[in-house]
Amino acid sequence: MIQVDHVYKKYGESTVLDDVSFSVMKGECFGIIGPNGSGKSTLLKQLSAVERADSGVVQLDGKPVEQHTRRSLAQWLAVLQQESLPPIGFSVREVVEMGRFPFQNWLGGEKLDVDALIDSIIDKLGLAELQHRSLDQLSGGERQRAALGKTMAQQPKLLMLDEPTTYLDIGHQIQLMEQIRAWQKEANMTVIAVLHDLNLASLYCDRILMLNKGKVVSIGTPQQILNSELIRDVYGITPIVVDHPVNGTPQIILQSNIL
Amino acid sequence: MSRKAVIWGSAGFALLLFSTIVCISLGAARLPLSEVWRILWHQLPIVGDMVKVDWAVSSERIITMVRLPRVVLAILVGASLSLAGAGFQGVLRNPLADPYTLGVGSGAAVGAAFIILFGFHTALLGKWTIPMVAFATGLISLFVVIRLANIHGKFRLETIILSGVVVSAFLSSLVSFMVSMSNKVVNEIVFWLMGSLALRGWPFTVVLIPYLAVGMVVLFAYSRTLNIFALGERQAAHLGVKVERTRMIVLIVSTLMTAAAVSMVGTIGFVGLVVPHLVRLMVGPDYRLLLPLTALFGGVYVLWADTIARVILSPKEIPLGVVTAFLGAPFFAYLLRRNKNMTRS
Repeated sequence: MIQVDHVYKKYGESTVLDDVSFSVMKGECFGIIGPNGSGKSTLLKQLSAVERADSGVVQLDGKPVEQHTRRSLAQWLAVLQQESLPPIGFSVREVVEMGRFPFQNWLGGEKLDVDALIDSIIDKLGLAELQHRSLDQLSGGERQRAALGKTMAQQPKLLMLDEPTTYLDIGHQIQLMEQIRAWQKEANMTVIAVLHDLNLASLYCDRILMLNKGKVVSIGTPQQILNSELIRDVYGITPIVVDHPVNGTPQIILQSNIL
Repeated sequence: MSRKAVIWGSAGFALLLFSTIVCISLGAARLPLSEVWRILWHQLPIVGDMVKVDWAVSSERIITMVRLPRVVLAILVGASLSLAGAGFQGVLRNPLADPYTLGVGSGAAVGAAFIILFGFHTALLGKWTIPMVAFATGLISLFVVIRLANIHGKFRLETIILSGVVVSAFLSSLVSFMVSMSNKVVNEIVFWLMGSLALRGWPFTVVLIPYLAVGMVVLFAYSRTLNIFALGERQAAHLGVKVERTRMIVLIVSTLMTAAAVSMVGTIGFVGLVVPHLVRLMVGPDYRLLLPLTALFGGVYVLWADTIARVILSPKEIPLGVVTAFLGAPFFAYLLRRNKNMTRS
């Protein structure tokens, strides 16, 4: 599905990605974690073809990323960003429908019954009451849900999440991740998620890549990655790692030395 | 959306027609509305002969030779500047962008003034020379402004306006310098600089049409893409938009329309700011509706502004640029404040 081989990227003098290689399989949820400035977002920019790597190959769907056109990429992959949509005057329904843009001809027509699709998405995300409100009247959490609706309308094979929960409270964080997980199962979609929160990554990802200073530290299941030694080496703190009492995934408990 | 389009479209056309007739009738020689209507009708091919000629020849002369070309020019200039404003705002995602605040107007003025002052009016390209040179200098100043405002690939809302003002000030002084160098045509230039539609006649009006037509076709074709642009450049890229190319094309055609308007009638500020915003308040942000209506209401807006300019102190005429600045600058201040409030909350 996705194959990354020896990718390097420099911004000026500083090396942001240093020999990054990994592959992602169809249908899995692949997490990317790491401290601030470790190159997570840069890596995602190479994967979504917003930027070009200095050297190395990123292959999507069996083809190097630069051989895809912007349009064919958009028909295949969607990105949910950290900052939700700007407060513009378009209604929620109009914005969700914008997800169909890569499939439409220049007059806005396409073969698919768009209205039925949009209805089902709005229904699924509980946006029915908000659908005719404009984005500038919504809260951040509601706007992020509209953004999710837009990516769903794109019907991607691959969804990339760029820290989408950053500005949300824990209620909206879990709600968003649950909706994405349900969608993933239903559509058998692949997800690549850059996440800040290690506990969320552990709960929702099948495999995790830990990045530090642009280098891959380790790739593996949450059980393999989230142990206190590795977290100490990368983040410089020593947390307590316990197993989740219900599903057994590792969860992190932070501790303070000044008490 | 299609019902909205029909309602607002027909309302706009009705308003435009009504304004045209009223504005033609107003002036030093008052002509009755019904007479204006019948004289205009008489000009139409085929159906024109249906009305009986019962008016003075002088009235028809005033209308067809003096007032009608001026009215049509005002409408075309208004449509061009408003569309250019909407294009700039859409692609820069900046509600304060306008041919005037971005320095494009002054840039075009430098080129046009140079040509007029040194008498190259018709060198190389005939009557198309002035607009083309104005286009070139307008484009150069636009890229200087964007370059100045661009810090690490991002530009902030106010920064680009600030660079626009700086570049504008520099270019205006350049024009003033050129004017002071030559004393033959000072009056003509100074009046042109402040914006005027007086004594232009049909030749000027005709020159503007192809520029406006090109701008309309290109911008209308990009209206759906501009909707996606509103989500942000990265979002647009993820939806399959070729961001760089779209931005370049829209900036270029917007500059082209600005340059054409400026080289005909001088710098007329804030039209591209006021009109798209008013239309947005009426019909919302969808560019498929916004762009055509902006062209329509832009024509109406400048038509009335020009009528005020020539009638209010008649027989003395005030420059059109003065009128639009009187209306537009307070509006700009209002937008600035509202944006400040929005970004703070």
